[in-house]
Amino acid sequence: MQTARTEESHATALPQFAAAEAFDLAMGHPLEGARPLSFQQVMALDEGETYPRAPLSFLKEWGFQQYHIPVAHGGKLAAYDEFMMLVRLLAGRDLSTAVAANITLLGGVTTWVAGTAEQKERVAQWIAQGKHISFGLTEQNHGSDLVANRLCAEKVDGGWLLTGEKWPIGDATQSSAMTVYARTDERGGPRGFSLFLVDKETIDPQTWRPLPKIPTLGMRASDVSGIAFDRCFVPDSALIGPLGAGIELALKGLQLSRTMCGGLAMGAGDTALRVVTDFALTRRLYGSPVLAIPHVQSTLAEAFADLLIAECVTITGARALHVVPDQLSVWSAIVKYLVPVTVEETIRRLSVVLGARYFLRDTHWEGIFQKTYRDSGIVSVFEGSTVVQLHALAVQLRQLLSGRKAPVDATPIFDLSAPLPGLQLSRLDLTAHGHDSAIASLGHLEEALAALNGDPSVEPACLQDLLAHARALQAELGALKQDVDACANPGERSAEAFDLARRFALIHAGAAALALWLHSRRNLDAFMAGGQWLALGLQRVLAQLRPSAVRRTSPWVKPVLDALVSLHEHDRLFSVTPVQLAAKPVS
Amino acid sequence: MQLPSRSASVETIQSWLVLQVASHAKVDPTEIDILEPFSRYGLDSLSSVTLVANLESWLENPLPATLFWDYPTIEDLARYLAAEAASLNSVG
Repeated sequence: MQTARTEESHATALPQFAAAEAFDLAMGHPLEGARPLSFQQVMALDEGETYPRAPLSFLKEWGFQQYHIPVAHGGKLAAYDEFMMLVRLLAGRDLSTAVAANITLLGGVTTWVAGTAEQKERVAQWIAQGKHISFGLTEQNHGSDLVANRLCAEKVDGGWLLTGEKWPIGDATQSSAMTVYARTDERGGPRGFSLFLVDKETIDPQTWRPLPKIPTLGMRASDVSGIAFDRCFVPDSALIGPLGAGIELALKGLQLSRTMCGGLAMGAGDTALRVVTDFALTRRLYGSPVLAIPHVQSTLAEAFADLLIAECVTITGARALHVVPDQLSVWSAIVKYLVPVTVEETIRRLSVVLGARYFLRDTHWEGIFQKTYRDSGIVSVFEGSTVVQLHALAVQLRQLLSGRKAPVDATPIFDLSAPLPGLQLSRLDLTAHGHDSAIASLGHLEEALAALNGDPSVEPACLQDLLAHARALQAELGALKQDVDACANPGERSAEAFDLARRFALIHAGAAALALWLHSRRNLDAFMAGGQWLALGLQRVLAQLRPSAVRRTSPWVKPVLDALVSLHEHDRLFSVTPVQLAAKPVS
Repeated sequence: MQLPSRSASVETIQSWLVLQVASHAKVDPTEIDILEPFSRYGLDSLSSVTLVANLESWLENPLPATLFWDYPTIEDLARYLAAEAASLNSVG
């Protein structure tokens, strides 16, 4: 068992994360005050509720926007896991900047899914110029009820007249263009809505106006506002996809942005853990560092393990987009549901270690913890709230548990060294037709684990734990199936149905983490390949499935904590693939 | 487009859909009008996905998730599915 870790031993040879290392180096360490994405600068923007222009200019210069253009259209969006890691590192600096910078992924996605060649070319040019495209989907009185939306498009000669309001919309005022969801059949219904690509720089300024910035709890530097149209003319060439395809395209496009939300949430979790680990190492209480307190050790190690499981869910979700795009309705709902709530809970538990400092707005790492705490709460709400995701899962639950085998080889989802097929957005589907390759993998995991018997890279006791956890997940799947069969209508928006969906998401998470580890461990460093983090993380996933289980201190807390401290001291990301971060400045 | 493999008559499919919609709406099957849109029985755009899934299991073949959007009444949908099944059988 390797215990002493050098900087080299964390190195990852996975090429998809090279861009992330270059990006972090370009941003500089977050405590380098003068840098546009330092904690000092983003704290000032947040306090002043000022749109993050300097960070966004830096990103434009670095070329971040190229990752919003698929390679087929001249950009750098080739692998969604590569893009996701960039989103995560940026979100770790400032969620306001990360959301503003990535609003274009959401605003542009429906054009990549269903736009004409001319529209795709137009969008690629806008993005390359650094213009933002927002997504005008929701309205003040209708929340997530898409068929109730009122903003209408009336057909006229050569185009359409838009009338109505969109609110609250991220980057509504700052964006140069907006994809607008509009009623095109006054009777409404699932075919009564369409999408329009609206160039805000060319429409008649007399026919539209921005709605004021809305004060928010967190992400105060963000432009969360709206737009009002009054018989605003847009040409026929603005219509995206077929007339009446609005709901279908919006739901498909949201699958990509909801998966991206995993990266946004992970960034917040990374920063919270980094700040609190640093505090526990440097702050002394009762004559020793805070880190010597057993409760603090458990809190930090468990937070690390929980974030690693959340990372596995996020990375496999991003890779599933390439391998099984027709299942993304399920994977994206699980990422969007599970990762933000896991991060929120992790941050809440980490706040206990900081004591009163979690509440202070300017001490310890510029007071970034309380900002991260406030900001991170929005990720589980926007792009379809937690209950929207649970409902999206619940309506598919009975079919997902019918045990259908996916007709594709899912290995490239879990093997991080496997080349990914190119993006095939035309294969996105509103349901997975009963397929979930993570759940399907569960049946093979026990055998694959047993094959590791005697392997010197895994401690026997750890392997035994992993085997027991794999069996427990199988048993939970069986129990869930029974409970779903007994539920009168899992598709109903009931607390019972949502809890069934929650359990499905947790089992999927456990299976995805195990499968990723088994298929990728030969490419992981000695600690990550050893699997103690996974044993600890799965124990905690199972505890959420069986809340009455007695809490015992896991034997894996200590090695997981040691690895966390080592990664922190070497400025590495708290990740299964510990990306090298910009080094801390010498003070 | 994938076609239903199980051959079923318009009437069989209609009766099956009536039972499903009645069960979803928690009403007696006699209260379901096959000419009324599904939305009248509380079937929103996402809930109809559950019925597509049930229909897929019953007909043993994948169907588009948007089926209930494009054929918004029991009569429309049953007629469409029966015709698709018949054309599949005549081809196969």
